[in-house]
This record gives sequence, C-alpha cells and structure tokens, in this order.
Amino acid sequence: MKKDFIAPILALAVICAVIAGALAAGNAVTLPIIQSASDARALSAMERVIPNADAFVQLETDNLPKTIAEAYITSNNTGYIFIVSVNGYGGEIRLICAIGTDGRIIKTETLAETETKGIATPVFEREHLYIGMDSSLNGIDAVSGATITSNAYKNGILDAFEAYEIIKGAQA
Amino acid sequence: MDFKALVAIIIGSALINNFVLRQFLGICPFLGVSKEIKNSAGMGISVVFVMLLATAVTWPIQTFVLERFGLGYLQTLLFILIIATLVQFVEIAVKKFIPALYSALGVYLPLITTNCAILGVTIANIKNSYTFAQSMAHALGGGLGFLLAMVVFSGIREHTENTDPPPSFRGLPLTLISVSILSLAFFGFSGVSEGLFG
Amino acid sequence: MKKLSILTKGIFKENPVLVFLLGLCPTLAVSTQASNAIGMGAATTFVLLGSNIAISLCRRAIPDKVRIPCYIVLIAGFVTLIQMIVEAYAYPLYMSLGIFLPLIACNCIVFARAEVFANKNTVIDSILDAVGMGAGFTLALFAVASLREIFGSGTWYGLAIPGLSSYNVPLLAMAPGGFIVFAVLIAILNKVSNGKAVKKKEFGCAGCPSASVCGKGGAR
Repeated sequence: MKKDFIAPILALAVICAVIAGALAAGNAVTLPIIQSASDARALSAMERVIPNADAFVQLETDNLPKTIAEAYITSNNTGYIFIVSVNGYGGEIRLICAIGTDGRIIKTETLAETETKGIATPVFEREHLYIGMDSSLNGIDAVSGATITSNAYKNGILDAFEAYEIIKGAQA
Repeated sequence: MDFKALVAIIIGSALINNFVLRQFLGICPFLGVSKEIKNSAGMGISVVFVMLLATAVTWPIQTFVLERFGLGYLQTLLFILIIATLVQFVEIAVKKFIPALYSALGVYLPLITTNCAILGVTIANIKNSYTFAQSMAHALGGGLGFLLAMVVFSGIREHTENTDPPPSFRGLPLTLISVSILSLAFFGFSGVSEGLFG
Repeated sequence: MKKLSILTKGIFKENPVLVFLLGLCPTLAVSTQASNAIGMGAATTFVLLGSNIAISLCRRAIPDKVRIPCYIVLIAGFVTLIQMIVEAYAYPLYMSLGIFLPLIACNCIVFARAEVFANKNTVIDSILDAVGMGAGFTLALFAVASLREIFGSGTWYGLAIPGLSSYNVPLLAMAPGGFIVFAVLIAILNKVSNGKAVKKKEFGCAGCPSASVCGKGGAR
C-alpha cells in the first residue's frame, strides 16, 4: 500500500523539478534579451516624441502623481518626458507624453493598451490633437461611446502636466 | 481603496467585458453545459466559487512569493497546479461536509480544472496590477458574469432546440449564432457603465 | 503510409477545431487578424510538439495515478517556455496575443493529444501527430481569422484590400463576429460534406476526447 503511494509522488516531484530547472534556464537566457529589448523600445519611443535630444536623464522626484511611472528630462533641457500608466476600460493604458519647457505638449504616444477594438480606437487615432496643447487641454472632447477610455487618456495627460509643474517647481 | 472603483470593476467584468461573450474565456463549458437552466446554474455557481477561491490563493502567492524572489516565470505553471489542486480539495471537502451541495455541484467541479476562465481571471488580476480587493472584485464580477451568461443562454437554448433550421445550421452553428446575438446584446451595457461611472 | 496518415489526419479528417470542436476559446479570441492566427498556431504547435515528445518519452515512467498532474506540469512548462521565447523575439505578437498565450496551458487540444495519443504511441508517431494537429489548428484559426480580417477590417495580413477597406463590417472584427464567422464556417462544412465532416453533432462534454482528462482530472 505504502509502496504504490511513493512511486507516483516521486515521479511527479522529479517532473516538477526538471521542468522548474528548465524554466529557470530558459528564463536566464531570455530575461536579458527581454530587458534589453524593452529598454530599446523605451528609448526609441522617447526619441520619437523628442527627436533632437542627445540623451535622456531619469528624474527621481517625490510626490509625483501615482500614475506617473517614469519621468525624464533631456540632457540639453529641451523638454520633459513622462511615462504614464492609467486604467482605462479594459486594463492599463500606457502613454508617453513629452512636454516642452514652454509648458506645451510636444507629442504624445500610446505605448500599450487593451481597450475595445473599434469603439475605443478613435481615441488613439486622435493623439495628434494634443500636440501644442497647454495644461488646459482646450478643445479635446471625449470620443462618443468611449468616454471611459477618452477620460482615462485625458486624465493621464493632465497627470503628466501636474508632474511637470512639480518638477519645474523643484528645479526653480 | 474606494468602494466606487470596486463596484466599477465588478460591473465591468460581469456585464461589459463579460468573460464568455466578450473575452471568449470558458467557451467549452459554456456551450457544453448550457442545455438546461438547472445545470447551467450549477456550473455557474461552481465557477463563481472556484474563481474567488483561486484568486484568494494565487494573488498572495504571486505577490509575496513569486515577485519577492524573482520567480515570475513560474506563474503559469504554479497557477494551473494550484487551481487543479484547489478543485480537488474543494471537491473532497464539499463531499465530506456538505453532501447536499455536493450532489448539486459535484459533477461540475472536475470540469472546472480545464476551464480557461479560471486561469484567465487569476493571470488577468496580475497583468492589470490589481490590489487584493480589486482582484477579488474582478473574480466575483467575472464569475457572476459567467453565471448570468450561462443562465440566460440556457433559457434561449431551450427554445432554439425545438426549432427547425436549415440542415447545415442544425446543432452547433445555430447555437453559435444565438451566442453571437446575445454577445451583441451585451454591447448595450457599455453605455450603462458610462452613465454610472462616467 | 501509416506514418503519412498520422500526419495528415490532424489537418483534415480529425481536424481538432473543425471536426472535434476543441480549443474554441483561442480560435474565437485571437482570430481578428491573420497574423495573430499564424502566431497563435505556431505557439500552440510548439507546445503540442514539446508535450507530445515529453509525454511519449516518459510514458512508461509516469505512473498511471499521477499522469494527469504530470501532463499539467509538462504542458504548463512548455507554455512558459514559449511565453519567454515570444516575449524575447516577437514582442508585437506577445502584446497582441495577451492573456491567450499563457492560456495555451488550458487548451484542450494539447490535453486531448497527450491523453489520447502521446501516452500510447512512440516518439516518432507522437511528433507526426503533434505536427499534424498543430497544422490543423493553425489552418482552422487562419481560415476564421482571414474571413474576419478581410470582411471586418478590409485588410488581409495587415495589407489593405482595395475596394473592400471602405465597405468593411467592423462587427465581424468584434466579439459577436467571431461567433458568427465560426458558425457559418461550420455550416458550410456541413453543407459541403453532407453533414459528415463535423463529427460532434451536439456540443456536450461526453463526446469530448478530453472528457477523461476533465472528469478524472486533478491530483487524485
């Protein structure tokens, strides 16, 4: 009785151990690739929103709105970049928002979103409307039928402006 | 933690992003067990129960074990094992302590192990970086949405079973088209949530 | 000759999706674009291949009592591997498949092949079976996805189709469209084959090849 208890458990334990080992090895191989690829993506996104910067310096400032995942300043002081993570309708929306030293948006871009296809798509197709806007965001209306996504996007941009003011205040 | 956000998650996952009708999770049990209202209610209740339990176990494990020790890559493996084991324990416990409940739900429990909606909800909780309360709300909403979809659809199905469609559409195609129309009907809920939380 | 039939049966005669109606969740969920379908098909084929090889290799070593938990561990292991590979080398695909990539671990096609085929047959046969079944799954997924992308978005494999792109039916790219397109595909198959093609007339758990997995499942 006892014997036919041990063999199955041993077999299962061996398989678990082998698989866990294989996964650890796989992880060791792929993790650096995944990380360097994600760093490269982040850098290329920053270069897309502020093309003429030579380098980006990450800012560690306290009290930023909690939706601001990362904040950067260009090394030649031409503008600020905020990576914003807000909750939309179907999960996280990750934005990158570049604000110039004049307090106007240089460019915004969506890095990742899982909003409803079709209905919420216009929100992301109208990103160019934000270019040149100041913190009042005058003239940005919600896309009908996709109010939650629109508001999430807009609030994310407003949070970026809030962070911008805080950082500017700290620097002054 | 504000209450409004939790309600929004429950309504969102139950009605708007309904697991079966919008996210295509758990189609197999949905189509397999929705022939009679009684069975589909039993299946639905079991799913609600297991979803809540699975979330309550997997969320702390992910946060306090996997993330702390950098073992995030074991997520899929561990979650599916936890769910399979959990279902077994629940089955044994219910059988022993609440025989009445077992006779009502017992047959559906084993089917849940391979229900991708359960694994789906636990992984989505982590993906959306929900807090524990939000994860539980998501699981509750998702389960209730599954229950609702199953019961409503079995009601529809009891009628379509007696119709006489063209031979090519008999059986599954007709069933799928009814699901499609029900899924379309659930689109109406998107407007409701905007009124409530917009 | 027999080997060839093991390979081809998964594609036509025993197509897991169109004939046995397995793996409907991913078939409906990721079939909005043809490119996603190919990616999902390839990922699932990888898992099928891995799990079939591993299970047929260990079929004598795995005690019957714990075979289901063993399958679960092996399959989930291969799913995690493909998750890592896709995230490292095909990031856009990783994003568009989203949660359905880890959910290959719940795909009943993989379980069914493990239980019905791999644990009774040699490694070579299991490889052929996995390739055939994987190809059949990919083919079905590709068919549904092509129909949905062409008529839903007016594009095919990301390329705009002249003349159609302004007359697309967005509904088909959304959730209800998935059910409708698949229903029509099954109905056409029924019509063409005079009702012989689709084996499972009724969708119930009893006729499912993985019923033994669900029914007796878990760590017993």
